[in-house]
Amino acid sequence: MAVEPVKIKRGFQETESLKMLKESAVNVNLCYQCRKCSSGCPVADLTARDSVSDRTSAGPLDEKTGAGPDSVPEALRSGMARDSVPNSVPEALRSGMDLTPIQIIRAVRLGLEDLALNSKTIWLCTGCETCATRCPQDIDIAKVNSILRIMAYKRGIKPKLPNVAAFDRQFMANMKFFGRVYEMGLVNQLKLATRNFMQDMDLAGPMIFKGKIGFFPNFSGFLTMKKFLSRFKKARAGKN
Amino acid sequence: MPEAIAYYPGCSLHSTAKEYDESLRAVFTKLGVELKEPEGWICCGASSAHSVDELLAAALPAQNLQLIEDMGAKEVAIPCAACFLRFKTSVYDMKQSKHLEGKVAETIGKKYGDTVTIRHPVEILEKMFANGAKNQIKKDLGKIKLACYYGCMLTRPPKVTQFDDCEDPQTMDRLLKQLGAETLVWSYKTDCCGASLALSEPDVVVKLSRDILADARACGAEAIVTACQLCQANLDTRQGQIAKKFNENFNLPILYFSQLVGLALGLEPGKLGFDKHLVDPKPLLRKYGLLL
Repeated sequence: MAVEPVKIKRGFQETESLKMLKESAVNVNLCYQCRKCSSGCPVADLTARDSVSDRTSAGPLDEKTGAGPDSVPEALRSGMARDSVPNSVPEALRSGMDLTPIQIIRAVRLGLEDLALNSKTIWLCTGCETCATRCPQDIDIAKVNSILRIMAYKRGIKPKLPNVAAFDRQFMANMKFFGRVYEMGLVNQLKLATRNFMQDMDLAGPMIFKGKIGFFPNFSGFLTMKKFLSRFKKARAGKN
Repeated sequence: MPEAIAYYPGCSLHSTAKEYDESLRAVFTKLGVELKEPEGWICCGASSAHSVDELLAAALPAQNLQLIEDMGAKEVAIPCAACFLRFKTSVYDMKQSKHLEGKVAETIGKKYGDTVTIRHPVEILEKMFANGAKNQIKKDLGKIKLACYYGCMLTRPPKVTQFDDCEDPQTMDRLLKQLGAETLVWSYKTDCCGASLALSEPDVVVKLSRDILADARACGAEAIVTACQLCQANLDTRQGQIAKKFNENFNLPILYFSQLVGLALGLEPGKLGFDKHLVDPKPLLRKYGLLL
């Protein structure tokens, strides 16, 4: 996707994200733009890998030419042009990330924090660490995304993918309250927060039937968590 | 007296992934090792804490490690790949930053001594079978064709997890080969299934899981074996939605390595939780004479 041209201020800007990254020993300035991070990212372009996986999908054959998805031209075509996206990819995700991982790194380096903080990318990152693993300069790109998410929360920036932010919030609330995550409670909290009551309702029946769902919370970690959180609050509030 | 190691199951293994917990306990008991849970352990913060607060993300695993150290344990088995990575990351990050280490010490009440080795049960079992537990095998898995799926968090980032080869790990393959299975060479063994986006952006998970299932099937897998309950849940429970969206019916059973070890050790299949999967693995296991 084309990115609007942006103005860059002259001189070095010590932005908050650069400061936070420095504290976490992540140096984005080592990036020499090889793009391995973006090409390895499973969600950067959700259609890119179809050239690989389509060799297995039994799509219908072309009536005239008899060519199927296994044929070379088709395999080469998908993944190279975004307008060849198969219908099976959900509308909202056809483009995957709006900024690729390398563009996030560029944005942070150039002091264009807001561009990164307002991207879909930081919420779509699964934290799989493929980018960080393949980076020849040892930059933990997934961690950059996490740190940007922490900043977005701090600054009250409206998340581009609100469901992901809702998950984080409800997960933390659940964990802090029960001590151990009460999964069924978490699912219900999320439904209330996002109003997506029908999401995955097709899974509820089979999962209950198979006895996969624990109906009751486990309070064995309740006291440890309570003590932990009171010390945590003090440590957080303390100097440094 | 049986040998004992500390065991941190994590939240999921007490609810949606009960069969993983039960099969692991059964296997270790059979091999004469007791798994001891630290009393009062708490959630390690996966999948969200590291995207919400860095100190919290480091301190939660450290608190649990402290509980384990207080038990006098030298080693902890962590079957949940997400917990495994959070624990390893906490220790790694504290070594990188004195400041963080100090803050964590404030939060957990003392400086964590770093005396506990964090290991995944698949590593532990692979070693045990390489060192003699092999003679306890009662049933050969009969060349059943398995795709070993490692996912992200066991293998990456390698400098943190220190687990096998990060692009082509072999630990689970070696373990299952010793039990008589045939493990396959395939491309998606460390690809991401979408992890916790399952609850927030399930479309992503459906797409990524479908790619993994498609490659496993193309390579001739009769089942996928996982070492992570989130991978198992995504690959198993999403197959119905994948069938609808992509018009591809995989019907590929997704098993835990511990369930297969249990079968090979001759454990009662009823104790290994084969009833809990949405894609029924029993017809396949019957075909290989592993179930009656």
